[in-house]
Amino acid sequence: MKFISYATNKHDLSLLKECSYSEVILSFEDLNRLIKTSYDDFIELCQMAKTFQMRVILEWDVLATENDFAPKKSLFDSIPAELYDAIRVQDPGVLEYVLGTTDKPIQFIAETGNHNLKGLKVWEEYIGHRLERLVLSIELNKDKIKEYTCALKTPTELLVAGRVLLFYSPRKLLSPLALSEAKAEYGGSFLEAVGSSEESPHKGFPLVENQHGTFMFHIKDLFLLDRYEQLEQTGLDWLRIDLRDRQDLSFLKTLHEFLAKPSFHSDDLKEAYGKEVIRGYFQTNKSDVLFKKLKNYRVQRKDEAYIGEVVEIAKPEYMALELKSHLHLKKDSQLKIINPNGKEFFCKVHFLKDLAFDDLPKTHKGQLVLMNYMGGVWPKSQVYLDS
Amino acid sequence: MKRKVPELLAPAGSLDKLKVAVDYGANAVYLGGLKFGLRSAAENFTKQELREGVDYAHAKGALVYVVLNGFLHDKDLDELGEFIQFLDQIKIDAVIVSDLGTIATISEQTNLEIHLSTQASCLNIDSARLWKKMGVTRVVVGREVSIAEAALIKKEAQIEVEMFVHGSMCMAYSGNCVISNFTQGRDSNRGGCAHSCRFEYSLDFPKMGLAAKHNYFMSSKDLSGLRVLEEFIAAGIDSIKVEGRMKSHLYAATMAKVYSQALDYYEEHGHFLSEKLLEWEDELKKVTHRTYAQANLIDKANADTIFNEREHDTELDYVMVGRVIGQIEDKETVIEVRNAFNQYDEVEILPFKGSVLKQGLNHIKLLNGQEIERSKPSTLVKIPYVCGAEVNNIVRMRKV
Ligand code: SF4
Repeated sequence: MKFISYATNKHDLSLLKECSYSEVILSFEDLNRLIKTSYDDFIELCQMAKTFQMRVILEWDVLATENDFAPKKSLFDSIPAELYDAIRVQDPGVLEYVLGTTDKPIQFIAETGNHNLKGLKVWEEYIGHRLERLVLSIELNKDKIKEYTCALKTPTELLVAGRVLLFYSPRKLLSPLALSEAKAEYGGSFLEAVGSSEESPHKGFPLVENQHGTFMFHIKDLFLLDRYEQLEQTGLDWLRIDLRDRQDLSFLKTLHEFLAKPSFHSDDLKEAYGKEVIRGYFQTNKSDVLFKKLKNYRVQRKDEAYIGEVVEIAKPEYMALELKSHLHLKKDSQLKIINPNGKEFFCKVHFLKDLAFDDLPKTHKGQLVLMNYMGGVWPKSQVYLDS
Repeated sequence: MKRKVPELLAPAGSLDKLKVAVDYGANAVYLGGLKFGLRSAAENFTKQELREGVDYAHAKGALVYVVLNGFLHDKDLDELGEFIQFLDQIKIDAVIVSDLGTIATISEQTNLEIHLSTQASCLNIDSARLWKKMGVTRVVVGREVSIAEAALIKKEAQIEVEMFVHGSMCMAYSGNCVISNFTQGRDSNRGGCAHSCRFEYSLDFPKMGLAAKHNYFMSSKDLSGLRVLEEFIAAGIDSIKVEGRMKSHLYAATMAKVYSQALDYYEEHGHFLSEKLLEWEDELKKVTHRTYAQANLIDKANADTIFNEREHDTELDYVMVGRVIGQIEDKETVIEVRNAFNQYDEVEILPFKGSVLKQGLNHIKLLNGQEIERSKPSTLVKIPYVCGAEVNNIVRMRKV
């Protein structure tokens, strides 16, 4: 397994070199969601990385609607091709564009909405020989990752330490709340805040607003490095560490030192990371279990003998049924009625009348009929013929 | 110049709501089965209801689209085959899908037409081109796309384009919010969104020494594109969609009625220069909603599109009090009561076409003729005859 990380200044880049990183992710503010580096500084970093013999991975991960996309394409086209070795993209539109306009290898970020092997294989097939890496979702658990790395032809990567992006909106949500003078003083184009809500079990979400919109992060970082052996077993090829919110990347050096030791205590490494951490879904993902309980367990229609629904109970005189199927109801029909609690009742039709209380010889779909009252049944009960 | 009007696509959170939407003028409805969608808490459709819903809609010339737009995991895909074959067999008109694995599964196993869900955040021409190559025939573009951009996507990618015209807005790029996943253990992209963006937050700006207490800074105003329907038409948008499968019968009826009336008006007159527009706008304000905005339809959504308020019902809100269930010999109208009303109240009946019918309640009677002063939910009552009312018309009343 190899490590990859971001560099946003020369100091970072030197440190990565010192830690023997063979690849670095570089980008600039117009193409990247969170990097503040200017275009010129980015070019310089690319040149420096080249002198370090590091592969430069250009990350273009902003989402853009058509009108914003066009200027980004021009900026991208202006980057000298010799300065980067591969391009890392997320939006299918960007993927399509770079497939058609460059011949660079592609690292595809499949972190959002790619939670099945079938889909990943279609991406593999579509991007073909240009695909050099798939960046997998942190919502996959370790067993799934292992299954995928075995089944995919392409090398894979996972975020193993860094902030967890929870929310990405194109709207500027912080600046309306920050006083304009303070904004001017601070620069105005990159606002940071911390948000807490009584309604959320977590407090202190880091927030960032920049030219691309607003981003919210988890209060704790994802950290899987203390499960290094488990990571090895997954078959992942690349581990990404994203410390772009920190002043410096010195943790990378610490990590390097730890990994150079014959053995180390994983808790020490976690402590050295210096932030509160979560393991996310690495062990297991049961995120579809809880909300199944939200489902409305109304009585669901099940079989072909469905007749309709009880709409009124006038105890002890009658109950009114709305007939919702083509089946006919007649005097002496045997019925099974299931009330909204799921309790079943069986009864026979003794009389059938219309709304004017006149006898009904036969019924049709859509009709409202009155029949004899049955205890325990109430409105919304479902009625079936019981043959 | 008169142009083709788009399809009006309405939400159908249940079989009843499907019928309401179709009866009130929707050209198409979208709905979810018991699995694979994004509205786990909605009633959704059993297979039998789906079959009945498709028959009902088709008989009235409306199309049915089924959402399978969760970001499906492997085990979901394993269960999908049988369901999509059933959908193919009952002849639904399209499925609405978000991820590539689902698209591939559907293409391999069925002949179903595939629409790309807004959840996939298709934002530009290149993206639409890619999805088209994957077998998609229509893209529901991201809510961040303007009408003008959508027109470009349609023209350049040569693909059908569907856009949201009305309803609640996700503040994030669709599919790009996992707040619920990581704070509540509920996958927002498989139907478990906890609506954390509607919470009240207190914010600190440590570097600026600022604090902003009690804000709903992530909550979006609702979308309403009624005023820019002409732009949708001029842009050649194929389908305009109303959000809200979880919303009420009254909402389903109002949306289908207002937007279909507006589109019909355009078909007839070739323009919207009409005092009718005010009347339609008024109607849209009568269902529970957050303040309306045009979001990104014309310009980029700015600070004015943030609904910085606690969710609440407005004084203008109406409530559905019942449904017309029959007429007795031009003498009385029978109503299935959903919310109580009193003698001497004034109720309004929403006919499928035409103006609202108002009716003062001189009397309310039980079916057996006994007069009562106040109706009870889940009962049938007779009110004075309302000329023009039809079975299944929604009965509403201003909230008191
Ligand atoms: S919490 Fe809000 S922004 Fe996030 S998915 Fe739900 S509705 Fe969208």
